[in-house]
Amino acid sequence: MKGKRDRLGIINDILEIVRDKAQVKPTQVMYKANLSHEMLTSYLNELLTKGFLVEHSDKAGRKTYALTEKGFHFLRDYKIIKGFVESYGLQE
Amino acid sequence: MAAYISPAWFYGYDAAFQLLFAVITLIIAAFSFKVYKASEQRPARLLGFAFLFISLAFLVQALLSALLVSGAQERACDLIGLTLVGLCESVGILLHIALMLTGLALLVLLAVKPAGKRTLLLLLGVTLIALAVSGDALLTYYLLSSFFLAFISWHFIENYLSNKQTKTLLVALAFLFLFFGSFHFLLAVNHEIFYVLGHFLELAAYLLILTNLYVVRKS
Repeated sequence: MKGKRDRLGIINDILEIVRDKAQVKPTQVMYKANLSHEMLTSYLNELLTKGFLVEHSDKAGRKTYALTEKGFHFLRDYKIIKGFVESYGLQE
Repeated sequence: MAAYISPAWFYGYDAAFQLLFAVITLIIAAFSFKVYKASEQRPARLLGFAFLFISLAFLVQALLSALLVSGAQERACDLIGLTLVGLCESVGILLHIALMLTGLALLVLLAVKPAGKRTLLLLLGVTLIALAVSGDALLTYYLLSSFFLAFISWHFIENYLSNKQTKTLLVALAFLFLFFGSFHFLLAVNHEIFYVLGHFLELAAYLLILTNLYVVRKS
């Protein structure tokens, strides 16, 4: 996570963290992805809505996140997606 | 459309060029939708629709050019229920213009951030009015598309300047070629050789776009 990250880079970092840990707590994502609480909430909501992540809750109500198939596909194709998005300046 | 501005020796070749452009732009549209599906980046979907409209516009243009060469326009016009060949050709030309300008307007939206449906409606509305009140729809179409392409090229040049990479340079150059190509079509209303030059400039542009896709996929 060197240099200034764009939106797509942050999404990639979050998904990589979740993939590496299989089930991950939001605080772990926040520290590892170097995000503020506000940014993390916004990104997690977006990734849940778009179907890249799935949320689980344990008996104590603690939330964890896991990667969906779509999330795995994103990570697999990330370089191509990034290349194409950069080519046409398609960053949101 | 070719009937009015193409040199006779270029008949048939223009249809082949236009068909090739339709295929290349369809490939880019399909890839944009694939990127959208994988990344949920909405601008990728917008780019996909833009290239899809441009592809359909080239397909209509290629059909018109091919019909003129084969002399089969009367039969084709009968098929769609239009008995007057001139009217049938005009419908085809207007369909090509509508599809191409919609595609270009969608590309303009990429450069206008944040863009919304209202901006698109505004662009299409102004375009429609300009075409409707114009005495020469073809000339107005080339003027409008040149203006749109100048605006789009500006966006892609800025994109290259902010992110200097081979792939961003390829896209910026491609749209500059498309702009110059469109400008040549504008001149072709009086000098038909510019119609041929316009096609070669467009060919260079779409080959650059295809090269960019190859570079991206190889990364």
